[in-house]
Amino acid sequence: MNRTLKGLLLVLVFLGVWEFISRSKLIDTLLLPPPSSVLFRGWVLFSKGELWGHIGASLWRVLLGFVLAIVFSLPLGVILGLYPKVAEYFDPLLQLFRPLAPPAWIPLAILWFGIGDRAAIFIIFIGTVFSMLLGIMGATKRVNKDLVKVGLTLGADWRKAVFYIVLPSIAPFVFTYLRIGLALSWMCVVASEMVAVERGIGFMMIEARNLFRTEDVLLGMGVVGGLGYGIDLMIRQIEHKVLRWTKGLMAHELFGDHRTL
Amino acid sequence: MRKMLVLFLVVGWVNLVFPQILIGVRTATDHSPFYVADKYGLYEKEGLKVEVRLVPSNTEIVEALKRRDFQMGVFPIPTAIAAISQGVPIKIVAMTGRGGDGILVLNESGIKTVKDLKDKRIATIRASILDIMLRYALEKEGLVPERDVKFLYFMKLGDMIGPLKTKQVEASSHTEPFLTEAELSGWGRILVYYDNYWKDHPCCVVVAHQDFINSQPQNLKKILKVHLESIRYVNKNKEDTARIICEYMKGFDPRIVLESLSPRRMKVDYQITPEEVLKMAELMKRYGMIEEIPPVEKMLDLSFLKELAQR
Repeated sequence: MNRTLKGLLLVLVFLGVWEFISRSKLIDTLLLPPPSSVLFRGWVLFSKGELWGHIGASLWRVLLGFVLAIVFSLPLGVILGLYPKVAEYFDPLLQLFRPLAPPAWIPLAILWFGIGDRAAIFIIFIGTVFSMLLGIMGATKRVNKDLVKVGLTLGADWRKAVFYIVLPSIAPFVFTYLRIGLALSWMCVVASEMVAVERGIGFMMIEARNLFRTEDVLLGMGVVGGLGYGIDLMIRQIEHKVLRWTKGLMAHELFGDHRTL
Repeated sequence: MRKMLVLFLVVGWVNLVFPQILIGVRTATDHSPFYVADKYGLYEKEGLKVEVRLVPSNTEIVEALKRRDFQMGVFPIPTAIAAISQGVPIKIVAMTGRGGDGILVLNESGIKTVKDLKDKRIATIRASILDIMLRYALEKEGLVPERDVKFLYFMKLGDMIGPLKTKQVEASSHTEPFLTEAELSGWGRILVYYDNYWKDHPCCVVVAHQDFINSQPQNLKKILKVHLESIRYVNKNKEDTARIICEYMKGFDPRIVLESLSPRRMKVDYQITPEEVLKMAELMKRYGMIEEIPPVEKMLDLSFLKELAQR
């Protein structure tokens, strides 16, 4: 059985158990509607064309907020990782902002960026950037200095050492933090769409909550999860191609099906 | 050990005979009868064990009712109708407030009438009484809501003030005491009260879970009796009521709250009619907030109020 089928099997079991629990009234359907009702609502909204508008709006905000977070955190993370004395200046500031939940930024986001998309994108950015920045900084800090020394001995300058030794060394960790960052972006989308937007999955969920349409809330959760999973798969594909050189070097290959010592 | 057992049994018996009743309320001027009843121990006087619990939003009160954590709740009538249309087993048993909402603009905005709102951005809370009454007022003035104005949806009343002050929206559909505060502070102007379009329209209602109605009708009757008494108190003792409201709604000036309680701005009332419930439900259906209008007997139970009125 291939990997996708294995994952799908567990999803189907999960949906089956949920359907059974709801249909048999083990949990009141008011509190937990069955997945078939959620899928039916999805079909209704999809055929009315409403769902696409919400998906498009959220996708645009998440991708923009996420890309901005990468653009900010990748170079700064590398610089702070390579220059610990500079990092000492930044550290208190980063630690101060990192624990703040995205909704705490809403009033300031409105004041600074106005209402609508810009404020929503800022909230996604701010909810994502600190974790990615600290992760990339930490990964850069732990690059083996002997690798850089060898490079410099073989005639590389500092710029080449960064581009050809440091960046490839941190690449596996960067991909991990990208995936974490992407998940955080989707987690921020509901909070970001509290800011005077007219469309978006988060907006749809907030409206559904106000109107007690539990099916729509669950549908929104499913869509966010599905989109997040889809983009994560795309990042994994890119990771697979970019990090081809790591094939045959990883410990997990010694375990499970790849036990080939 | 024996003493502990006796104490345990006594506590159990007291809880069985006098069950605790939880009523979910928000911070709003028309919820004041519940603050008054709580403050002056009116429930205890009726032999009831009631906790009036402040909850941040209407949806959270309904969610607690759904879980049967609360037996009663107070929230705007559209919230009640939306919940009932989705099968939540609750019924409206009394009213608590009428009116008290309208459109707020900046003093220097140049907006003189509702018609001037054409092509303007208006802040509101989606699917709330403010959203419904705003759309209704626009329609009455010959504007088509979705076409002629741009709605910007917020989560909380407080969140709409900043964008209005910083001119990111030209108007805001708002409620008391924010309207009075804006006017008395000098930065805002009440363009219109929605009462101009629907005189004394219903706002917040008292709702009870069907299980509570069935299992404790006597207690429900006593709570409504207290509600009527508190409303009389609120209407006769506005200064004291304003002071009590400010204990629950931190950050408001009692003078502003007192002014917001004046009859020209809002009314605290317990009577509600099936006609006005149906009219609100019809508006909600027209604006896409509910799919079907529930039968009025599924939304409203006036038997307790009628019995109290006969006394």
